[in-house]
Amino acid sequence: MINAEYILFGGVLALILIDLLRLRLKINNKNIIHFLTLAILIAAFIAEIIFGNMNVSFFSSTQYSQFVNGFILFLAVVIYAFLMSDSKDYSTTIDFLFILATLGAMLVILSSNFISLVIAIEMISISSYGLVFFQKNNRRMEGATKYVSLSFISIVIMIFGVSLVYGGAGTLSFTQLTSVDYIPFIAGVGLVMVGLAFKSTIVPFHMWAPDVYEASNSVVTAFLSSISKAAGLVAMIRVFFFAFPVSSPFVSMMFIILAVSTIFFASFLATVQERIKRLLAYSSIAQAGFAFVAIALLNYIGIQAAIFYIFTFAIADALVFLAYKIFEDQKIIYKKDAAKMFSISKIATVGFFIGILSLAGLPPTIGFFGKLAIFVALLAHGYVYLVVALFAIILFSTFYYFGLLRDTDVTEVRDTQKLNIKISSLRVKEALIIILTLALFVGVIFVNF
Amino acid sequence: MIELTGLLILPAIGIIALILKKVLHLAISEEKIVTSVTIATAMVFFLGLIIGFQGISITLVNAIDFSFTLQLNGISIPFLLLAVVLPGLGLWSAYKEIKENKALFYIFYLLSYLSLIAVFMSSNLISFFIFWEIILISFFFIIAFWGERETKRKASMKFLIFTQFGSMVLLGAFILLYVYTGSFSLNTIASSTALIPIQIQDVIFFFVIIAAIIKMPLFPLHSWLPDAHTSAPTAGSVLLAGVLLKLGAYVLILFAVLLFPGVVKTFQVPLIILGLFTVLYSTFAASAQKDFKRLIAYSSIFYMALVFIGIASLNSLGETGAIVLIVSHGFIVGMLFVLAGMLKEKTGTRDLDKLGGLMSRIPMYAFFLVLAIIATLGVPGLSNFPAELLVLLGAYAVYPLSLLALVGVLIATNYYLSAAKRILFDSLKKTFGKITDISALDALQLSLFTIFIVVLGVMPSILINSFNLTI
Amino acid sequence: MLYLILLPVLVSLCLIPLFGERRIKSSTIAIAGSFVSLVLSLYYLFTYFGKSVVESYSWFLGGFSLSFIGDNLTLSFAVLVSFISLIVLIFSVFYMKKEPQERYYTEMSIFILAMLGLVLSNSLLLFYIFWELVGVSSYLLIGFWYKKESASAAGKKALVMTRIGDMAFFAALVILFIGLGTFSIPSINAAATSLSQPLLLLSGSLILIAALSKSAQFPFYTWLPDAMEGPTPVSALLHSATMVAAGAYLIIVMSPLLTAAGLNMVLIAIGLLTAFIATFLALNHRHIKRILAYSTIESLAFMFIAVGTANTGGAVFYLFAHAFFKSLLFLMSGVFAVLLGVQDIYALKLKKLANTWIAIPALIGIISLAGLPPFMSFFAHLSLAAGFNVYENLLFVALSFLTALFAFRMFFLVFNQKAEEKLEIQKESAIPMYLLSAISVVGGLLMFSFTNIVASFTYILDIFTLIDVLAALLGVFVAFEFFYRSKYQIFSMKAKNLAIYLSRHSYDSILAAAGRSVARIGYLVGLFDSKLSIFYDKLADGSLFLSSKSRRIEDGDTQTYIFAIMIGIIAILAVASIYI
Repeated sequence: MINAEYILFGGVLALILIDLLRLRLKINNKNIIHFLTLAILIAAFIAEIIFGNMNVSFFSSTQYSQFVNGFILFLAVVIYAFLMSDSKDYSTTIDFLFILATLGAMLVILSSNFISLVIAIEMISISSYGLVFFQKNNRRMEGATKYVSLSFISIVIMIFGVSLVYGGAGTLSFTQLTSVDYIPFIAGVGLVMVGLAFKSTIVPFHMWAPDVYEASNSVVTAFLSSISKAAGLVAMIRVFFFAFPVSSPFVSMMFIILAVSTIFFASFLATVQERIKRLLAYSSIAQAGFAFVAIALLNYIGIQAAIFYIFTFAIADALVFLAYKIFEDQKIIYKKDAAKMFSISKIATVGFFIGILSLAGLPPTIGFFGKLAIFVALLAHGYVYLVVALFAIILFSTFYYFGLLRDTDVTEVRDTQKLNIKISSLRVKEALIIILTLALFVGVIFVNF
Repeated sequence: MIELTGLLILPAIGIIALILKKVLHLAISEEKIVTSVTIATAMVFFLGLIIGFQGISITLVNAIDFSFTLQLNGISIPFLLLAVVLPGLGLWSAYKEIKENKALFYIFYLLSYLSLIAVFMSSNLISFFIFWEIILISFFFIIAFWGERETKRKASMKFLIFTQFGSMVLLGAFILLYVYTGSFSLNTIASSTALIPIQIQDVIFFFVIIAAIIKMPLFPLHSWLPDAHTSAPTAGSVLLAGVLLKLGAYVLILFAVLLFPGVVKTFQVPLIILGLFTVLYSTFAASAQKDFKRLIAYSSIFYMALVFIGIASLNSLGETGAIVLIVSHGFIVGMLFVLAGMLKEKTGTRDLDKLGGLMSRIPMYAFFLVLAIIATLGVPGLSNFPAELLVLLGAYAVYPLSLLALVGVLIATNYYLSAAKRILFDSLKKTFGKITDISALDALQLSLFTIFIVVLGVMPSILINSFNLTI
Repeated sequence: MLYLILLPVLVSLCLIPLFGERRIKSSTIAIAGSFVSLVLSLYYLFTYFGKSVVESYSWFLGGFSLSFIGDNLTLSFAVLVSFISLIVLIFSVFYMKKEPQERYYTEMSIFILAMLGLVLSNSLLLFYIFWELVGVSSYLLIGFWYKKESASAAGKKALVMTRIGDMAFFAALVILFIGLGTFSIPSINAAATSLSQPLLLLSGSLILIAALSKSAQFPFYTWLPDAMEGPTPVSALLHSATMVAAGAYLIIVMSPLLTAAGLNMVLIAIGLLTAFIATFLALNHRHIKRILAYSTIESLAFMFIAVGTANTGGAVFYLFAHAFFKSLLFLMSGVFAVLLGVQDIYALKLKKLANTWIAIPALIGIISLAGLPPFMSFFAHLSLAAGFNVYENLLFVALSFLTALFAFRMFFLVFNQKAEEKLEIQKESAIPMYLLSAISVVGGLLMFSFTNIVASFTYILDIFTLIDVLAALLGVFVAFEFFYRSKYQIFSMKAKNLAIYLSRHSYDSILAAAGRSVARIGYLVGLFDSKLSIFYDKLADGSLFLSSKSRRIEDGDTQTYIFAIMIGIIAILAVASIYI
C-alpha cells in the first residue's frame, strides 16, 4: 500500500537529495523544488483518498482518520500553493519544513501510543518554528522565540504527564490502558491534557497563539490555525475518547468549563481588537473552544460533531487567513482600513466574507452545519443551559464578525488607489480562494449526526 | 402546473446576470435586469396561482435529513404574495436612491428576494433556516452599506444582533424538534408531534414565541425596528416592514399554532395581553415621534401586535384576520415607506416640525399620502378593515378585553392625522417654494400599491380563499 | 338591485377625476349622479312600497355578508338624502365657482355615496362601512381649505372625535356578532334580549356613544361648530341629511336594542343636557354658521330625546323637517359668505325690503327652526313631543323659548331695517333656496301621508302645545325687543356671561387637558422607549467594556503567559485530585 504518509516521508528525503543536486549543479531557480513539493502533496492527497492511512506498530487509524487526514492534506495543498504563488525566491527549506509539518499533523491523528504522539507533536512544533521564522525580521523573531519557549514548556509538561501515565498504567499504548493505578495516572492525564490544550489553544494555554499568529506570515498563520490546531484537537479526541478510561460526567463538566471559558474569553478579546489579524486569531481560538465543547461530551455523537466542526473551522480559518494575506500585502492592517478590501480583490473579499460567515456559524456555509451538529449533540444529551450560553456567546461574537464585515463598507471608498499587485499571482490566489470557498459549501456532504 | 423552483430560478438568474455584467462589463443596466427579473417572477407566480404549483424535493444530505424541499403549506400563498410582489414595488425607490455600487446592492436585494420567496415554500427546516438567515445577512448589508450615513453602522448592528438572537432561538426550537422526532421535514414533524414530551413542547413553543416577538417585533424586544427603518434605504424599509416582519408571524403560525395548538391554548391569555400591551405601548410611542419614518415604524409595530393578538386567539376568525392583516399591512406600510422616501427626496427632511403646507406644491403626493393614511387607519373599502374586524372578532371571542386595542386605533388616528396636517396642510413653509410634484413613475409606483390595497379591501375573499390553516 | 341607487354616485365619483374638468364639468357629472340616484330611489320607493326587501351579497367567509334593505323608511331616507344632495350640489355651482372643482365634487360624491349606502344598509357591517366613509369624507371636506390652519385643525378634530364613536361602534359590532352570530339589524334587534345583561348594556352603550359622537351630542359636540371651517355647501349637507343625521339614524334603527338595554333614560338625559348647552352657546355666538351649528346640535338632541321616549316615528319626521330647513339656513349663510364675505351677525346688516328674495326664505327657515306654526317644523315638533311626560314637556317649553330667542336674534340682527347692504339675486343660489322653502312651508301638510309612507307616529294637541307656541312667541318678542330695537344691551352681556360659564371654554379646556394628557403619555412612552433602546445599546457597550478589561491580561509578556499556564495546570491537577 502506498499510503500518504510514506509518500510524504519519501518525498521529503527525495527532495533533500534533489536540492543537494541542484546546489551542486548551481541551478539558482528553486521553482523545480517548489513544484515537486506541490506534486508530492497532491500525490499524498490522492493516495490518502484511495488507500487510506497506514496501520503499523504505533500508528493505527480510526474511523475518522481518513477524513481528517484527507482534509489536512487538502488544506496543505491549498496553503502551499498559495504560499508559492507569490513567486518570490523562497528558500527550499520551507518545502521540507512544510511537508514535515503536514506529515507530523497526520501522524498525530494516527498515533496509537503516547510515544508516537509526543514525537508527532514535536514534529509539527519544530517544523512550525521554522515556518514562523522563515522570512526573517524582528517581529518574526519575537514571535518564533515566544512560540519556541512556550511550546517547549508545554511539551515538557506533556512528557512528564506521559511518564506519570506510564507509572500508573504500565503501558503507553492507547489500547491497553485498562487497569490503572489512579493517583499517578490521573495526574498524568491532566498533564497530557495541558500539552494537547496548548496545541489546540484552549484557555488558559492559548496565550501564545495571538502573538505568534500575528507575527507570522499570514499563510503560515493559516497553516497553524487550521492544520496544526486540528491535529491537536483530534489528538484530544483520540486520547480522551479512545484511550483513557476516564469518561464521566465529572470530566465532561471540566472539559465543558474549559471549552466555554475558551469561547467566552476569546470572543471578548476579539471584540476589542483593532487589528484584523489579531481579531481573526482570537476568533480562531474561540472556534477551538466550540470543537472542544463537542469533545467534552465524550460520546460517539459528540465526537462526530467535533470532527465535523474541526473540519469546518479549519477550512474557514485557512480561507480567511489566506484571503487576508492578499489584503495584508496592501497594508490593510486595521479594521478601519477594511473599506478598501473590495477594491483590491473582489473575489478575495467575497471569500473573506463567506469565511467569516462560516466562522460566525451562519448558513448556508458549513460553519452553520458544524454548529448545528454540536447543538444537536448537546441537546440530545440534555445540555439545554449550555446551549443557551453558547447561543449567547454566538450572538456576542456576531459583534466582531459582523463589525468587521460592516467595516468593509464599499460605499465609503471614493478614490481607488493604485495597487501594487502582480496580476498573475493574484489570479492564482483568487483561484485558490474560490476552491476553499466552494469547500465551505460542498463540505456539507460530510456532516453526520 | 408550475414548478416552485421557477420562482427561485428567476431571481437566481438575475443575480448571475448582475455578476456577469460586472465581470464582463456588459452594457445592460442593473435596473433593467432587476426589473425584468421581478416582473417575470411575479408573472410566474400569478400564472401559478391560476394553473397550480408543483413542489419539489431534493435530498442533499441524507444523514441529517437535510433536503431542499419546496412545497406549499396551507398558509404559504398570502405570504408568497407579499414576498413576490412587494420587493418589486419598492424597486423604483431604489433606482432613485442607490447611486453607489449598484450591482452589489441589487445582488443583495435579489438575494433577499430569492430567500424571502424560498423561506415561505421550504418545508425542510434546515433549508428554511438557511434562507431565513440569508435574508438577515443580505438585509444587514443593505442597511450597513446603503443606509443613512450617520446612523447606519449602529443601526445595522442592532438589527443584526436582535434578529440573530431570534434566529438562534428559532434554531434551538428546530433542533429540539429534530432531537425528538428525528426529522427536519415539516410534514414528518407535524405527523409525529405526539412523540415530543409535553415539557419539551413548552420549551419549543417558548423559543418560537421569542423568535416571533423579536421578528414581528413586540415589546420589549422591538428597539431594533425604528432604528433599522430610519437608517435603511426606502426600498429596504419596504422589504423590512412589508415582508421581513411577517416572517415572525409566519413562524408563529406554522411552528406554534399549527404544531402545538394545545400549548398555545395554555398561554393564550398572557400572549394576548402581551399583544395588547404592545398595541397600546407602540401607539403611544408613535405619537411621540417627530421623524415620519420612525412614526411609521412604530405604527407598524402596532399592526404586527394586532396580528399577534389575532394569531394568539387560536380561532379561525382571528387567524384568518391575522393573515389578511399581514398582507394588507404589507402593502400599506410599504406604500407609507415609499411616501416617506419621496418626502425626503423632495424636501430633504422627514422631520415633521420642519414640514408644512406641502399640499399646494405636491397635490398628487398629498392624494396618495392621505389615501395611505386612511387605509392604515382601517377605513372600510381598503384592505385593513376586514383584517382588523376579523382579528378583533377572533380575539374578543376568547378575551373580551382585546377590544382595548381599539383605543390604539383611535390614538393612531390622532397621530396619523397630525402627521398629515403637519406635512400637507396649513400654510406653505417658504423653504419649500420650489419643490415639484412627484413624477409619473412615482405615481405609477404608488398606484400599484393602491390597486392591491383597494382590491384586497373590496374583495378580501380572494385572499381568504387562498389559504387554509393547515400545514 | 338596491345597490343601483348607489351606482350613479359611484360612477360620477369615478368619472370626475377621469374627465378632470376637460370635456364635462365636474359639477355636471356630480349633479347628474345624484339626480339619477334620486330618481332611482323614488322608483324603488314606489316599487317596494309597503314591502321590505332584503338583498344580501356575500362578502367574505360565511357570516360576513353585506345586505341592503328596501322598505318605506330606508327608501324615504334615500330620497331625502339624494334630494338634499342634489339641492346642495346645485347650490355648489354658485358657491364653489372659484375653488378646485374636481377635488370638491369627488369628495362630495363620496360623502353622498356613503350616506346613501348607510341609510339602505340592513347589516350592521355594511352600516359601519358607510358610517366610516361618512366620517372620512367629512374629514376631507371640512379640511377643504387646507391652507387655513383652523380648517385643517377642524377636519382633524372632526375625524378624531367621531372616530371615538367609530371605535365604539366597531366594538359593538364585534360584541354583537360574537354574541348573536349575525350582523343583520332586524335579527340583532329581535334577539337583543338573548344577550346577557352586561353585554347588552355594554353594546347598547357603545352604539349610543357612536351615535353621540357622530351627531355631536354631549360630550362630543365640540367638533361640529369647528367644522364650520369647511365650505358652506358642505356644512349644509353635513348638518341636514348626512353626517350628523347618521347618528340619529343609527339610534332610530337600533332603538329596540337600546330599549332592551335600558338606555332610554340616558338618551333623554343626554339629549336634554345637550339641548340646553347648545342653545346657550348659540345665544352666545356672533358667527352665523356657528349659531346654526349649535342649533343643529339642539335639533339632534330633540331627536335623541324622541327616541328616548320610544317615539322613533317622531324622531324620523323631525329629522326630515330639520333636513329641509337646516340646509335652507345654511344656503342662506352661504349666500352671505359669497356675496359679502361676512358671516358675523353683528356685521351683517341687510336691508330687509331690498333683499326680500333672501329674507323670505330666511324667515321661513328661522320660523321653522323656532318650531312655530304652521310650517312643517311645527308639526314635527308636535310629533316630537308626543311621547313626553310632564317634566320633559316643561323642559321642552323652556327650550322652545330659548330656541326662538336665538333664532330670531340672528334674524333681527341680520335683516335690519337701518342697514343698507343689498344682495344680487343669482339663479343657482336662489332656486335651491326656494325649493327648500317651499317644502318647509307645505311639508306640514304631508304629515298624514308621511305617517303612512315613512314611519308611523302620533301627535297630541294639548295644553303644552299651546304653551310651547306661546313660549316660542315670547322668545320672538324678546328677540325683537333686544336685538332689533337694541334696547337692552345689558341682557345680551349677561346672557353671554352665563353662556361662557357653561360654555365650551371650560369644557374645551377639559378636552384639551385630556388631549394633552394623552400627548403626555405618548411623550413619556416615547421617552421610555428611547431609554429602552439606549439600555440595549448600553448592554452591548457593557459587554465591550468587559472585553476591554480582559484585554489587559494579554499584554504580550511571555512571563504572564507562563504564569497563566501554571495556574491552568494547578487548576486541572486540583480538579483531577478531587476526582480521585
